Amino acid sequence: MATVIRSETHPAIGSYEEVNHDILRLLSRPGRSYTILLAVTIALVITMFTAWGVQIVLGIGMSGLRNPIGWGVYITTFVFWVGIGHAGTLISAILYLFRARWRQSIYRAAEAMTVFAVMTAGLFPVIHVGRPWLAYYLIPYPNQRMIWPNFRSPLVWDVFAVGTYFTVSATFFFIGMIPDLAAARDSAVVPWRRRLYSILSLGWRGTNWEWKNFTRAYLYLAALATPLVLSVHSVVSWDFAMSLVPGWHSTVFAPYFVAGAIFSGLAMVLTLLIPIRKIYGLEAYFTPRHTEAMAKMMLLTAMIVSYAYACEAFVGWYTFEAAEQHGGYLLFGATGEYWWSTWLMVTCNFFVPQLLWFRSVRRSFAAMFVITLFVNIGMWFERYSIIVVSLSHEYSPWMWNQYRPSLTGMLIILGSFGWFLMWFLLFLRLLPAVSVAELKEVLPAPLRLYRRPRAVEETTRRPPVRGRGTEENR
Amino acid sequence: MAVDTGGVYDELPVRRFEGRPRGGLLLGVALVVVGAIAIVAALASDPARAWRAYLANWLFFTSISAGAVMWSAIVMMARGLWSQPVRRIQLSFVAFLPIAWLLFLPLLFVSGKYIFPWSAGFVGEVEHIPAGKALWLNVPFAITRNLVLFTVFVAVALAFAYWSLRPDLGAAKSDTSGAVRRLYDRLTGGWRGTEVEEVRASHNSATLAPILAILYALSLTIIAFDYVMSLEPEWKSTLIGGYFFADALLAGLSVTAVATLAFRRALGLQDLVLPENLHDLGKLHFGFNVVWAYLFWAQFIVIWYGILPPEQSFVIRRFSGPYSPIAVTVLLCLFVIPFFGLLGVKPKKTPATLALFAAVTLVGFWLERWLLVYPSWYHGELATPLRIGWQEIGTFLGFAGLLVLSLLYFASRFPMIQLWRPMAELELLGDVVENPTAGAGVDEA
Repeated sequence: MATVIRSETHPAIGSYEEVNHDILRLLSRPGRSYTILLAVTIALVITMFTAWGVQIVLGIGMSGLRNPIGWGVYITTFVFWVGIGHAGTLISAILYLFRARWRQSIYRAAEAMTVFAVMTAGLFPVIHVGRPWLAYYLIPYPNQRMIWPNFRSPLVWDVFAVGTYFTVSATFFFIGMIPDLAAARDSAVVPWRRRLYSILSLGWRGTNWEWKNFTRAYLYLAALATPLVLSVHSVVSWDFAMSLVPGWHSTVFAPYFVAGAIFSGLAMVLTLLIPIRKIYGLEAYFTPRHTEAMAKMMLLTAMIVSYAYACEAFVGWYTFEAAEQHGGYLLFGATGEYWWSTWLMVTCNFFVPQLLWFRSVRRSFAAMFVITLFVNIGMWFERYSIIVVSLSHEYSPWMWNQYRPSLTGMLIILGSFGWFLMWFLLFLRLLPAVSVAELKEVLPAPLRLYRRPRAVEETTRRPPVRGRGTEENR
Repeated sequence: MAVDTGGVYDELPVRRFEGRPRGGLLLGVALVVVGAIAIVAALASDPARAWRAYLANWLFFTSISAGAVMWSAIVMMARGLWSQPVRRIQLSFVAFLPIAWLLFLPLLFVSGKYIFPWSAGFVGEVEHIPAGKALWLNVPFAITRNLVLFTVFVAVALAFAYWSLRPDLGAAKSDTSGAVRRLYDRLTGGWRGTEVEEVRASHNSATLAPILAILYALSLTIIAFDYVMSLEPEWKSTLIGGYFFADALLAGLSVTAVATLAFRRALGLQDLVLPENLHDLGKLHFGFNVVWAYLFWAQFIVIWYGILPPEQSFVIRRFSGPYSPIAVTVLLCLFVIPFFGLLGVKPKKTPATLALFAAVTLVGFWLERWLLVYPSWYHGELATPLRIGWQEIGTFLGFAGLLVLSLLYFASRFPMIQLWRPMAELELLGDVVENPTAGAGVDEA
């Protein structure tokens, strides 16, 4: 009598073979809807670059930025995308160290999202400073060309922090993918794909020696990436907190930004994965168990963010300084002309996530999709409130002013979503979107008396297994 | 994975002190007597200093025991399977919380004029206090908010402890006799059978744990606002609450490590608390040493960079003059020494080194709590001589005695290893039992 042992984390996956089949199947010729979607994102990217071009030709005034509000939607969107980039490393590195085994089937997509989000974020400082051909000034190199970088400026720290984060997460993303790229190479039929995967998989053959070094490298990179999850957004928060702008100069900013970043990043992972699961039939790989675990982390981070709101509001009042009381984005923001932005942020980031206390909500894909959309919006407006509201109401009344985002600015932001999604769509079809190798670690080992549950429909489009290579790779 | 799989034992590993642990009791009582004499003598000679020593020690002991209890709830919420052997030891600190609550009362009702610079008749140098702050900084409101939050926190902690203990008490009842038996009977009233009780306990503790976490954060935040931040009425830091309670989590881990090793020896738990468990505990401890450094830095850099006089005074007072060696010691003990000491696998798995670095962290933590409050009263010319004298140490010994006695009270009644597992963890374990290879892969981490 054959018994089928089910994985506790992914009960609907039957066998190792099924994993290869289901995942590598995505690396084939895409359908029409995919092509259309890709075309739309490319159109958005073209829009973005056109708008950017217009801004370069006609001047930075096109962005709507003027004194005293020198930081507007570009920096808002920069912080937003850097924040989105946090979930990937959290899921791939921190949860790895914490031995959370449900992460195996989703971490690859989350990591890809991280890399693309940081790539998107990286555009905005360049867009914001207005003269992109001088963008290399951002990278401080002492004494050359008489630039004399000020190492006390948090903006310089930011270049280091985001640069390091991008390097480490991209390396981590790539290293983790090597065994899967080898599996893709072995089952690729189209010549250019086989060549691509051959190059990328660095001649991986799956020997013991290779696995030993691979797991070591993976562990050390995870350990290196873990503190980066905290450091990047802390440094981003110090772009604000180091200044004396009322509402910005606040000690809680670093942990508050980190919690917010993880919160928004997890929301974005869910926003992306819930439709993908449906479209590509990955129901067995992305289960209610995953939404539940991520929803719990979202709830935790939402509570931390709300705690920070409360502390900010309380201490703003407690300071008993007119500027803090009127300029702080929370107290002034809640009652002043930007009340809608502040209340949108509090609603989306505090009230809506309270639904996550309910298990049925956490396990419902539809509910989670809607909630994460709210969270994405709320987290963008959180940064908008912090930046614009604080700057609009500084110490002296003659500096008070209002800011209205321009059409150019909005088009660039819209385009940045296109840019991000374009890379993500390309990723889905070019690289293994689920970690085949790591997923097998949490599946039950094949037994002799094993009965494959999906033995029937093996005829259609099963990738040819060359010399049973992929099986042996595991 | 170091987890014993699903509680398959020949006999239930009910480990507690049978009879009286005479040595421990004697030590506890002696400490309490010494402490009581010291407190009375201090009150007679310099009541202001006596109350300040009392506050610093109360903050220390409340933080460590609340932190340890909080960990037992955190590992349950996070389904940390590794923590099964240490969870009850963390929980045992709940026995100190009612004492902390009692010790809080004199602090709230009597000590105000020695502690709060904004209270009427403050003994000491009064700084400028913005008039509008009286809405928050007034004694009746301060007493109310602290007392209400801390009372509710302690009550929920006791309820959480009750539901964590209950299934085990039912299971272990048959081995007991006398007073312990009567206690078990009372605590397991309305017993509905092991299975039903485990489901109930899973459900109730899963409900109580997040509530406890929220109350922990709120209660310790308010304590930090009132007993740390308001001591310098012009100073403000939005992070002080978060810093204060996250820091207490680090101390909760240190004290867990020390208590685990002590109980492991005294109760012969070597077969249950394995080196792998110590390894995991050590990793978490190491991680929280880094978290402490991070939070310290997050608070420090903003103030240092801002150079705003009211903000800076707090830091300058603590990093200059006679206090600077203490501040450096705190940095060394809470971060540098344990960070380098606990690197690698060996120091985490070896009881002696784990205990050493946990103890170093605790010393640093005591100094840190002391440093949070003392320079607010004694700064400038008053800063010398450094006030760590018989008053502070005597009070410390008295509080330590109470902690020892409360832990012994717990350990001589209840099993010090949690026998049952919440339903959610059994689900996870089901996989491990059926498929022993599934957990492999990450273990060497």
